[in-house]
Amino acid sequence: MKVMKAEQPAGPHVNGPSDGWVKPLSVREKLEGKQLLVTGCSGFIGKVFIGLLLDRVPEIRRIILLARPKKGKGAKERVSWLFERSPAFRHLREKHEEGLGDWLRERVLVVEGDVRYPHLGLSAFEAQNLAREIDAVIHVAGETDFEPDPIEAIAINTKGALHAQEFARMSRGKRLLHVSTAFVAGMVSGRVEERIRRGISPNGTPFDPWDELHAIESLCASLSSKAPSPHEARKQRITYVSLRARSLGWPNIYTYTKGLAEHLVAGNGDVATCLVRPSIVESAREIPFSGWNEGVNTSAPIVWLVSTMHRHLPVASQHIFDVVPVDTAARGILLALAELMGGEHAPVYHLASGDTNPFTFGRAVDLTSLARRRQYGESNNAFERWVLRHLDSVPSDTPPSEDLTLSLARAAASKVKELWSNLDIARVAPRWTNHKFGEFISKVAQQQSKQWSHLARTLAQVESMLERYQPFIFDHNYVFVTEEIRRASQRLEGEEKESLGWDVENIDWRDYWMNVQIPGLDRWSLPLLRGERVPDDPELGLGISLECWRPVEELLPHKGAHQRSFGG
Amino acid sequence: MSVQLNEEAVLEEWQKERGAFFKLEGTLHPAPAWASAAFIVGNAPLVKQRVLGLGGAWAAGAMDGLSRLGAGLARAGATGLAFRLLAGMSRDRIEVLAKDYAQEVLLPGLRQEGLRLLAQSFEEGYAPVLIAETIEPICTELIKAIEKKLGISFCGLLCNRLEFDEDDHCTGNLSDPVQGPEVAPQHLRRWAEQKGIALEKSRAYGSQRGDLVLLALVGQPCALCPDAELRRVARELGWPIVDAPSGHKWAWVHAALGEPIGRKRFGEWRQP
Repeated sequence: MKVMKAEQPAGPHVNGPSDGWVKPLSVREKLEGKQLLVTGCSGFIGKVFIGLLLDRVPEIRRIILLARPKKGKGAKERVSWLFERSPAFRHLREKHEEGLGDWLRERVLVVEGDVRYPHLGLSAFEAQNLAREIDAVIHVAGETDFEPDPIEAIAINTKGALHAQEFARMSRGKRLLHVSTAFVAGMVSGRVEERIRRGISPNGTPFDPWDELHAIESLCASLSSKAPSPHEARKQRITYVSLRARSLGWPNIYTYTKGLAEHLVAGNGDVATCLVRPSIVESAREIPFSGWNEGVNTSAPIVWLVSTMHRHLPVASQHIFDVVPVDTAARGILLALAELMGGEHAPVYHLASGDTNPFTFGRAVDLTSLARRRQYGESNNAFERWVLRHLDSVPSDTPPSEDLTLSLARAAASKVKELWSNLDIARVAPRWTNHKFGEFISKVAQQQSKQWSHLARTLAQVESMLERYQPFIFDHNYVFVTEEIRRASQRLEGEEKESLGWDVENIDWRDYWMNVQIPGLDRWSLPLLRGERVPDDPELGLGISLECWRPVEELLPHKGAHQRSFGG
Repeated sequence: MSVQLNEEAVLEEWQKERGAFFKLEGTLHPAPAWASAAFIVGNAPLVKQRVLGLGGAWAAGAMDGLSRLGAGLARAGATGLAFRLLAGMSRDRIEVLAKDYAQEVLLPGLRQEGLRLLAQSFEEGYAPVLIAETIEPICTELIKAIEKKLGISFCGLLCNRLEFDEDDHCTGNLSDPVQGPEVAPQHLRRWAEQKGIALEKSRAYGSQRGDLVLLALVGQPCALCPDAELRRVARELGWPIVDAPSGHKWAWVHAALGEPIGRKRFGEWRQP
């Protein structure tokens, strides 16, 4: 039986010293009446986090979503459209039906901004006004491409975090939850603790994060001015910044810029900051619905390869494949947020599965093969039923960079494509054949050429992705320690434990992988890899039109004074 | 005091359940246990493992066949050899393929008469018990499907269990007690005692010579589609004999080649 003790000190360590005492935590109580600013609301994790927050913590006063205009659509239209059509909010549409628009208008506001700029892209006046209403900033926005243009990656991943912290500093709550990645651990193997050693890179090199940021920005500027073309400049920036990242122990630009952000925002005493580091985020188990996924992530190329004739997958079979379902990651963020609101937060939370419920690459390949075997058994395609069904894939324990089969397959596919596209029926076939079947054969050749070209392109894409993922799927075996999130979850009681608790240790990986992840990838991710489009949910005519946040009129100094300054 | 004890003993005996023991191999389905091992090893991830495994499984099958002809070979040895071939396979693979084997091979080929007797026994108040030489995940899947289809519930399962190492890879060994073609009387008595089942009030259905021990242990034995030896004994002892055709009699042969007959045709048994 838990005993409440009023004199128990609050702080990062809320477990009792020896008597098993745990200070209870209620997420709903901590967030009741609070106003949050959330960045990255259109991203994979961001959408599920907002969906979970709205669904499970209705006590929240208001969520203000920072979004930027894109493709001719304003922030308000973009976010309203997400609630109207995105599968990520299907559960809310099903729950509230026609009433969703009004329900959301009471809880959600949109503000047009951009994390790349100071004050999050708002004018100083707007930022100050908005910040006065905010209890915590949840910074989820990020550039998740592993090898992006460093200018973009630094602007979004590194400076974006600084801008979010600067905004949090102005806010009434002075709290920042920054969503990072567990792979900021860099090129290391073994246990990764939940801590940050400021100014020490993953390979132990001391560095000054501010100097590093300025140096890398200068390098990018210099390369941009000297390169003969913008394309060449971008290529050079990627090459040199990747080299710099590796020299400090980060495998790519993504982890380097995220890592740099952590070093810059951690330990700034005037803003209560906590870093949340999810590992590989994959298909949802429950919210918005089982199997939902978005984009092409780590497991997609592996799963795609298993569905082809490719048999030897370049993964280290015994290494941990640290997967976390996206809604479980969202629960973790919510738990960390609740502790942050109570001032009881840890500096770093890992959201990972490997230390309590490890799942290996070997097991993932085995289960994917078994899932495919079942699918092909029911296929109407004889090739799938009789050939592919019996071709199980196995881990090859060869690094992707040394795996020749993929590049050979790609070269073969390109060659076959060339043969079809260069096929001159008039030259190779007798005249009567040409006369009778010429048109038909040309059509077939055209179709075949297109198909083989597409296959070659997909193979090239998969090959490059696997090489990019090599540090995570082959070179290093990470065991992310998750003591903090488990400690926080232990503090939950009653129904909250069930609906908001961290329950990664209860995941049955076989069931998850075969019945959630594979169908999810088939439906939501693999079409993207094949160059197809994933449809949005049908239009239900809910007429969702969210409102934009506006500064209080009477506080306006004079008309035009709150012009935005995006140039900063 | 002693009178009171006797009364209690009688009362306890009277309250004991009546069981209906059904042997899977031969009685409910024509497929022998080694066919299930062949199906699983025939779908091993590596081609080499498949070829060697299938060869071993067929050798086990040959041993089984010769032992039935009275060639002096122990049939239990054939079962042990067949499951030893699964050594090194992951628990995931074995359990998923076991489920597929139950759904794709066993369920479509179940003897309708056997199912009818199962439902009838349950209705008459006998608690159904499945006895099988094959492994647990196959039996549990089968039981789940039969329970759903017939609206009954099984009271127990006596079958083999594979041993796995700490990495969840099969060692190829079966846990004790190993369920062979013949039921071990002591083990069955002990099990029935634990479950509160009175064997002398129970019934059992068998179809092979190896089931003689089981049939001899219960009060109401019955031979269902018996082989020649069991038929002869049943006639001599006056046990009832039921003859009925099997659904897909040779389906297991296909399965023993590592290839199921295809679940599409058997929609009614398909599990989600």
